[in-house]
Amino acid sequence: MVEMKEHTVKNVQPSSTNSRVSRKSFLAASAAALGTLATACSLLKPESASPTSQPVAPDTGQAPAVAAGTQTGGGKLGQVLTRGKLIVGTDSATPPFCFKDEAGNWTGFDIDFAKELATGLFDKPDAIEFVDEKPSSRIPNLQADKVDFVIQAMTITMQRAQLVNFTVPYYRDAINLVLPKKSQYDNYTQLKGANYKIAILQNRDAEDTVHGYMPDTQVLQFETQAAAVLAVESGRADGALVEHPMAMYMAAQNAEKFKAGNQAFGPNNFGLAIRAGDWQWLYWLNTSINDLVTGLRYPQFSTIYKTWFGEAPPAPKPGSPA
Amino acid sequence: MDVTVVVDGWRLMGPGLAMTLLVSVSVMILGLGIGLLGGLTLLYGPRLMRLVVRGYVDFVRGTPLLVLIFLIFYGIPAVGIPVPNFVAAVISLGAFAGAQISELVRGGISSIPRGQTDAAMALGMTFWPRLTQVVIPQAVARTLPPLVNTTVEVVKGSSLVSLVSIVELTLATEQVVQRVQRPVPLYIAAALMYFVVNFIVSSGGRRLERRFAF
Amino acid sequence: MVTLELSIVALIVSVLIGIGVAYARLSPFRAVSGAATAYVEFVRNIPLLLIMFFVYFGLPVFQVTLTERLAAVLALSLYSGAYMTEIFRAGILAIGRGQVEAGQALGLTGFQISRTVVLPQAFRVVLPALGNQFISLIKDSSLAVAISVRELTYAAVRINDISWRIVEVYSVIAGMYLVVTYAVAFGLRGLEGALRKRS
Repeated sequence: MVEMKEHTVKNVQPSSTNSRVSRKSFLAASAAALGTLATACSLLKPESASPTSQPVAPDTGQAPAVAAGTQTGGGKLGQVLTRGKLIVGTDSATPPFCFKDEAGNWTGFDIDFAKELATGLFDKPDAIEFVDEKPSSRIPNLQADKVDFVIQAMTITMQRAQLVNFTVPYYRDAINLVLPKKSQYDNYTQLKGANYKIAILQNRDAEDTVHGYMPDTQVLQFETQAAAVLAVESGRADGALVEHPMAMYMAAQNAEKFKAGNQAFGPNNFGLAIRAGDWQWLYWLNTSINDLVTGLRYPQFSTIYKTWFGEAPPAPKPGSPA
Repeated sequence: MDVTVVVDGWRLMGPGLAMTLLVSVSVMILGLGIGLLGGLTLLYGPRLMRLVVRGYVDFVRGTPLLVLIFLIFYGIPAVGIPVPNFVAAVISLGAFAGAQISELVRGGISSIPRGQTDAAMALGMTFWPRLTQVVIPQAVARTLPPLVNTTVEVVKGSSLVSLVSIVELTLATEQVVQRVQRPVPLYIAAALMYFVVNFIVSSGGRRLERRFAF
Repeated sequence: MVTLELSIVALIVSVLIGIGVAYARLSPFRAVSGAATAYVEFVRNIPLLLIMFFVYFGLPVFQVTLTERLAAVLALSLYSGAYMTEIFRAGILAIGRGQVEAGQALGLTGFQISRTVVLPQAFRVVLPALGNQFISLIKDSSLAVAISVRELTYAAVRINDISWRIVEVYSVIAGMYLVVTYAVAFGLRGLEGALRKRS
């Protein structure tokens, strides 16, 4: 019996006796595919033509902020305030910036920083929900308005800035190598040439970044930075190029397995990323970041910084802001 | 092999397993609903509706589940409907399950010999009572094995929603692996958990089959 | 296209696994058939994603380090092999005892009987199911993106890095998979028809 066989066979496809039906179904399926494409095209074009319009309706159903009204008048800021909590995109694979501890709680510099922003909005550091996204989903999640902002050890680049808006930097980063403990090499300058494999987070500039410092090496790209380190652990790569604090963290936490390169390099800036076009939200975030890093909330910022990086951040000097 | 890391990891993986179960159950409920509607439409609906459902089923069958999930998960906000991530993920997996179940319903019902419907008509039954009292009860027995199969596929498919930020078992396992950097015991533990869940589903299905057999 | 490459290699390997393990399941030795059954039941009940992660990240712990592509092919083959086993087991069993006995009457050894009598007929019987499995394989190969193999879905992920149009991109990708799977389905139907004419 046909049904009995299907019990052991995974898929159910129209059999050859249905050839007439399947031609129709082929046309129907192609029509469905083309329809999806057409809908997608027509819906996304107006969005990109005028980046300041927001076709995605906020939960409150309010129109995008047009007039310079009150802060709660509309836009993302109004939406967040009405909702009562922040929804933040981050990942769990980039210690010490964002990861989960043994109890499964979100922890890290980025996490604590985000909680300070939640405090600034709601007086409660826990009025916040973290969404665990792979780095490749950062930009799609922002564009689809799934998160209010992304704080995920995200490097500001000019290409990304064309797709999303970045805040002012909240951390100045450098990169470094995670090397196997028994490696005979000490830093990146010694790894040049095609017989070395370097693992790095998958992104558009990955090959260029690696080759800029370690020419001619083979580049292995991974979904997360922790996966890149795992590649070193499993012998797939001779080194993992990750954020300098992460290299230090991994070396400290797993001293029997890893060591960090003794030279950090490649300066870059981390910023929060938001969906393009919401100027009020961007202004609020920029103002708050500056307040934390050099303003009223410097003490709280300093505590967080010391916890994760072991030293106090540069203290702001009274006088001219320049 | 370090088994203690699994015990520690349980604090993350336990809730992950719960989420896997929650997603699977929700998807099956949604999928059964869509599948019943779809299957009945394929058999008895007007020509246009049949084409639409046929197109839907073949589209889902021809695309990888991963692509389908991304398409629906990001497609829903693109048409302006804000839904929470969990709902979007369930809808995307549900679309997959619904397409499969539509085919199963169609196959199951059409496998009931005409003699049954003829006899029912001879007894004076109209369409709906005929369907619900004669055809469907018999069709259920035949549809149950492939339906159990679909449920297992859904449980396995739930691992893919880890890629759209739902913290189910696979993502939870990844989170632990990334912190402790010990993939082997953790992935084996996760695989065993999936196996146990699906084994229970299959055994439960077999017991149900026996109850429904004539 | 990498997707097809992966799928075809995995198809061949999984067919080999399938035939081998199918015979193992039918073996009179309890240990052999038990091990085969355990493999099939275990692999069919766990997600392919997990198998990929394990092959890629876990095997190196045992000193077996494969490239992304090899890892993807191995994972796909192991996964598909379990289904192939069931397909071939059903096919082999469907070839009646009469055939086997006829072969024995002709003086062929067991191995020769399998190779020249049972398997060719079994192949014809299971061809539709094989075709289905191949189509599934093509779709499953999209998971190779999770271990960074540069196949079709990976292209979509990369493009998202540089463009607004998420849904458009995935629609196009879906369209491409549809074209491939339908082409394969049509080809298989043609093959079935041709084979039927021959027998």
